[in-house]
Amino acid sequence: MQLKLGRINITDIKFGDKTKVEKGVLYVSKEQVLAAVADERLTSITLELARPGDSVRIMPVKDVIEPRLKVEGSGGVLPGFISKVEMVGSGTTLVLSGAAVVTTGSIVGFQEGIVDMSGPGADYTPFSKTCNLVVVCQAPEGLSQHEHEAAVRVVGYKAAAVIAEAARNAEVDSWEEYQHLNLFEGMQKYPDLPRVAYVYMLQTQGLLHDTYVYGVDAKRILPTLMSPTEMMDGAIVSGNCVSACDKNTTYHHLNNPIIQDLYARHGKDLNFIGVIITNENVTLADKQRSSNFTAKLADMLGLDGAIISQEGFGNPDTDLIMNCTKLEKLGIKTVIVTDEYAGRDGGSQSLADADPLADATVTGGNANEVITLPAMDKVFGSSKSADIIAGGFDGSLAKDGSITVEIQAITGATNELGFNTLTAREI
Amino acid sequence: MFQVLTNNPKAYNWWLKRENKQVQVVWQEGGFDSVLTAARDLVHLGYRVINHPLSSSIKPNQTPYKTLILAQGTGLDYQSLSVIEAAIAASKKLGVFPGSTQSILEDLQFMDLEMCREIQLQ
Repeated sequence: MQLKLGRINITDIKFGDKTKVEKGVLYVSKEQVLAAVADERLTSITLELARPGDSVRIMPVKDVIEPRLKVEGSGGVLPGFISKVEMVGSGTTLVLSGAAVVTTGSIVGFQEGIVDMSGPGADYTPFSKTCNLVVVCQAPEGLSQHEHEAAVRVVGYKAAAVIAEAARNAEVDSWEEYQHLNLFEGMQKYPDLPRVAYVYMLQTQGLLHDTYVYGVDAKRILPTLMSPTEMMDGAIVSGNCVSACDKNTTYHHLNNPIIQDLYARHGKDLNFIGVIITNENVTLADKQRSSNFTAKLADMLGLDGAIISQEGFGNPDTDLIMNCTKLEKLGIKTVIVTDEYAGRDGGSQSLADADPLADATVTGGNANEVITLPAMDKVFGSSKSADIIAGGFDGSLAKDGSITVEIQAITGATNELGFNTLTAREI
Repeated sequence: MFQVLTNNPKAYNWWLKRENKQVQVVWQEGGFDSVLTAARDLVHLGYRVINHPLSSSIKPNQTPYKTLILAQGTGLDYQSLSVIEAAIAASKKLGVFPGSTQSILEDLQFMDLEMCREIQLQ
């Protein structure tokens, strides 16, 4: 499999009569987007713009999606939702790099997910650096939470797909090529390099905690093998936003830095075999079954090593440790990527599960760290939930509009793919 | 035999309506930690935990509700004991739910029910 990614750098976003890219500026036609995303389940959909440096707070953020367009090869982006379920991950895909669609809509009262475009909070989220089309969704009284969630989720994909069309005639700034050899070819080409795979854990526990693979709710899958290039075409998308700091948005799935780093070292000091996706379900039996299948696949692939990334905290710690220990007991070296809930002073036990075999750990930071976010001139969505969001507490929202919260309320703050700047190092 | 241990009125009523003779629905008075403690006592009596006590991303200090399903076994299940003790430790570390409005409490009840209602008991 071979995928070419053509990046079109977006440095600003504006509304215009037509959706197009000109000299790095993404012009968005409100009419065109609103026509494409219309959903009879919702009472209103409004569009706003949020640029880096703006005095804007977006909350509660549901999802963030990078606009991509398949121009050559099998299938289309976001298979199972926007495109049919043809296999993706080969051919040519164009990326509006630096642009994002951010959906916001209050599906449950305690929902969080803050993106500040300026101020101290901006340092804690990667989406303060993107030029964002914010899609604000309002639902009628009485719409079920499941329908509400599905509507807002799909509105985001549709908005991303319609503005991605602007890439079709735009000048490409840079090209990247990703090749994924089959197992036999990979072994022949790199017989002396250690065989390394990526175990990609997806949170799958129900409403606001779900992930989809080619349109399938991933709680219903058994672990399977995927090409890393499939993620770059949106084979995995997010329905997951509660406790926003360590949830993977669709943007994260499209731009997974572990996949990027493994590719960067592929053929140099390791042979990147592929991606084993697995889930994080609610029952212990599911956790056992999925970790058993993950270990079985790793064994069948003859791996020497694996990177394992977690999504979320708490019960996924159990999945993480099961995956790690089962691989280690097969002689496969592992590195786990997680984050921490170590208390506000950082002094408490970081994970809810642990094992001596998990002796190589990368952390995305401590989600209990407290921050005060000053008031912004504009709030897209609603700041009312600041007192009750995860990481918020009584009095979180001050009269002046500032919010004091744990950073777990900030979208992507302690991302467990390493898609942010926080970590901990031994000194 | 299964025991559904809950302090969530929505989950209690939902499981009662299923009228499954294999399932005993037990109301547990108190907060999140009281359900965990009662479940730990059952584990020591030979029950094993079906759903993880920290299921969902809503932390023990962010919701007062918990529904735990346990299956009657014949001896001490060490994995169940390990996860319930770790959950109790995590709950103690994170502190107590500070309270909220009625509509938020109802959303939290709904989310707790969401996390347990599709579990296949077999």
